[in-house]
Amino acid sequence: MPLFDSDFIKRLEYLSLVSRRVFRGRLMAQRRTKQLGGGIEFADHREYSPGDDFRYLDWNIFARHGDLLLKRFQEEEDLHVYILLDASRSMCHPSSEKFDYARRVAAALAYIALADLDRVSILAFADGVKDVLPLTRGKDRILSVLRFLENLEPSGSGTRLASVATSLVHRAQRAGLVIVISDLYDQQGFRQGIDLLRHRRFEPHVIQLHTAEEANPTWLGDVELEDIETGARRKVTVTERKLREYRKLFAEFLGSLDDYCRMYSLSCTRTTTEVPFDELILRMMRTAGVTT
Amino acid sequence: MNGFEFANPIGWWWAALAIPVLLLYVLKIRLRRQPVSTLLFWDKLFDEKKPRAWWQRLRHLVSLLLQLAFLLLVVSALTDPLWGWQENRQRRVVLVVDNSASMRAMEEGGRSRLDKAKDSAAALVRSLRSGDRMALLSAGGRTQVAVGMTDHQRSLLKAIETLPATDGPTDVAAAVVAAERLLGDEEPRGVIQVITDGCFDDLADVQSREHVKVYGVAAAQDNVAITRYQVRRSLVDAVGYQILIDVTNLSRERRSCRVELTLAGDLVDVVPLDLEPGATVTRVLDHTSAGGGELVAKLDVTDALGTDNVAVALLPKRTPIPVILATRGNLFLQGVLEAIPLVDLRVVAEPPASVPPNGILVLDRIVPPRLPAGRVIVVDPQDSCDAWTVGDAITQPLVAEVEADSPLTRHVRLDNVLFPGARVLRFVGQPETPIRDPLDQPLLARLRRPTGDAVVLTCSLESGDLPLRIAFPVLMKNTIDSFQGNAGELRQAVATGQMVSLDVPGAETGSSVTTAEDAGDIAVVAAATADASATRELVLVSPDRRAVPLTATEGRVMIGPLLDTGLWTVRPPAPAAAAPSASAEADAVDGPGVVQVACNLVDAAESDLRPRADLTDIQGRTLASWGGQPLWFYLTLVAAGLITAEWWLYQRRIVG
Repeated sequence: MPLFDSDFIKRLEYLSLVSRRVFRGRLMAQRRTKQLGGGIEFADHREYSPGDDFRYLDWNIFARHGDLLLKRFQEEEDLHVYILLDASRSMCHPSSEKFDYARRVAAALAYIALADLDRVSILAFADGVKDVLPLTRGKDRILSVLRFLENLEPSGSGTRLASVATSLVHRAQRAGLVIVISDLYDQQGFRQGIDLLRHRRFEPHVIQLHTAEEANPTWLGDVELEDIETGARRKVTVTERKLREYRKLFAEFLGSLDDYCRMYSLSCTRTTTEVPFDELILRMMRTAGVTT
Repeated sequence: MNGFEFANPIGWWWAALAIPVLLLYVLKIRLRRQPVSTLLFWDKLFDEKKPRAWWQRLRHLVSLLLQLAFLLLVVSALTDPLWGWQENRQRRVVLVVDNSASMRAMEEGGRSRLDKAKDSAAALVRSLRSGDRMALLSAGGRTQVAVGMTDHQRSLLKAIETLPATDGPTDVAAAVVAAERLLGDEEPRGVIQVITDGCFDDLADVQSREHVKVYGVAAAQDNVAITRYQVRRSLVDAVGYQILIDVTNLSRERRSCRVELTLAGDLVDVVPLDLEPGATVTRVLDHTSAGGGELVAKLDVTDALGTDNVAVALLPKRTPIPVILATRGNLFLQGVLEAIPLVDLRVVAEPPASVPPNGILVLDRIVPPRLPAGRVIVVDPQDSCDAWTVGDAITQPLVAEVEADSPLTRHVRLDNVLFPGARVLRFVGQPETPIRDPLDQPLLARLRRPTGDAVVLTCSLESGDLPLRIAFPVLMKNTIDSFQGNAGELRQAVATGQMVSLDVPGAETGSSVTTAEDAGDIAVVAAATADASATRELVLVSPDRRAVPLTATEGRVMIGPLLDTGLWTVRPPAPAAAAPSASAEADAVDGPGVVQVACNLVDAAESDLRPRADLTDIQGRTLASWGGQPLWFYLTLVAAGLITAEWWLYQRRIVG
């Protein structure tokens, strides 16, 4: 069964329409940048300086008051949406369910952005940037986006969000919205990467994905645990008590993510793969996380 | 102790199972691999709480050692190890269980001695080793082989479980002889294990026998018992009866109690008794009742053994005697007959053609040419008949001789009494003449006839003073009693364990006689008598209403030994259509041809619940080793403990 079939495309269109109707005025493409420039919408005045273009002088004020003031306009820019998609091996364990889910969410968000005439770039990462879909624009580019996502394969020997963030801030022409779709099982911690984005005036939004088994493992006994990404192994005896402690630890991890995002007013969405992806998108929009 | 021997050394081959255990352990070292998305959480989890106890690091090895120890113990148990002092050879044991009446006594805890004996016997059976053989004999009332020599424990246990409690006397000595016979001279010599309460007199003899071990199951207990109980009809009173009862105090203390007597459910008497320790009180009680039935004596004491607190006897029922007086008027005779108990008198003018069944015809001065069949009394015969010829009057009808031995003249004194109107009688055949005149002429004669006796008194009652004498009513009562015979006077109650021979009247025979006489055909009577010699199918019904078929030969049947107290009934089988089931067979206990026997314990030796000697308590005794169980049992127990420990370790390891 193909990852993105015609039914999926229909659902993307549906999501796009719903996002337009329900969240009018708050879509990505209608965001105004704070940069003043050559737009048509008046912003304010400033004093004339020698060398300024006479065309922007406010002659009415000069006529009334004799002051030379220059009109300033707010420049409208396209929103740059960077989707950082985790393509590490942990995303395809125990099956490709989580990775497929992440790709669908990425595709949906990209479609909505493209439909709103935003520029979209996708960076697949693991321990570094694995593959990049350059900034693209226009709804007609969705097929290339889907093709890009479809061709992605999990790889790498770990998850390093900081490395990807560094790479992004270096190569991005402009700051913009950064949507991180990952399980955030970063050996160095996810905070470093998000902090870097935040400091470089990007607007990070975190979508944390995990499976039910990761949150609530059921196996017991003497086992040799193998990290699917690093290949590290550990012999342990898993007891009911240990399982209870694991669940508590995992919940604490998710809680710390929430606390972090709340502290810096970041949007954060946590979900398991059991939630349909379109429902997740609508939920995200409802909480205005991605689009504000 | 000289080390161990193994009854089943082949069992050591099972030790090879250690190889797969070790292999599995080695394989267990290569743990199951479980891929996870990240080790972040697991590292944190296990690095924070590292095993603290040293043994937690060694628990896999401990687990292996426990498993190997478990295997070793199980294999050792399979080899059936024996201590050095135990014989490593097949054993033969005869188990004699006393199931006599005294074993019904209740011990502390509400269980009977027999129940305790059964438990102990079952423990002995369970402790048999493979190849050991055992037989089971019961010794209550009679020796019975419950199970012959077998090594099949289930059969032995089943036989022990179904061993019945009896009311019979103890017969351990005979059972031991039978057990010795069962063991024979075969080597190795077997062992006879006797489980008893020791309440029998030849206990010392049994204990002294070689290869016999006697074990006790009971402590001494106090008891009060009915040790004799009989009832009989009075010899002088037709409706009177006498009860003979002995009550013995087999206790260490003085006891007071009462005996309640009921006849057919109605209270007859209550006798208070005061009994010294070891004393026996005898009472003879006179009562009257025309009715008969079950006469039950019950002691109102609470003691260990209930069987001997109740005794039962059968009181024969007195039925009215239909008497027909054919006379033209004789107040003397009529008055005397009416005064005799049980006589149902009917006065007629003309003699009837036949005598009523079980009745008596009295002819006063009337003599038909042919004397009717049945029992007939003729007073002052005036005419001849087929049985005698009337001659001249006796000139000196003075009573010269009265036979004291004759039942007709018992207690009769007629010295120098005149029988006026007496006539010379010439009988066909040879009559008995209990009263004669000086010339040996019969004044009172009894003529034996196949169809019924005839008694003839030649005396004119209206002429002499005989009716005024006390001898006359006595004479008439004796005559009627003599006709009734002794049947029903006494039905002796028997003691348990006895054999009883019973006359079984055929219902068909009685009706044949009557029919034959009615037809005047003697040959039919002879045929009926001959029929009585043939075998007849009967049913013996026990007090608990179990029916057993038996065969009577020549009108007699032998039953016993009777091992249950109560009423035993012998009766013809019910018709198949009427009584298809065994319970219906048992229910039909009344009617023609039915004979009942009362059976009581009445055995002071059996009721004495104090063992005659000190016996080794059977509690905890087995044929195995210490603690009543074979060594393999303890090995298995330890193995179970180890596997439990391993399970606990596993649970602690996995469930936490």
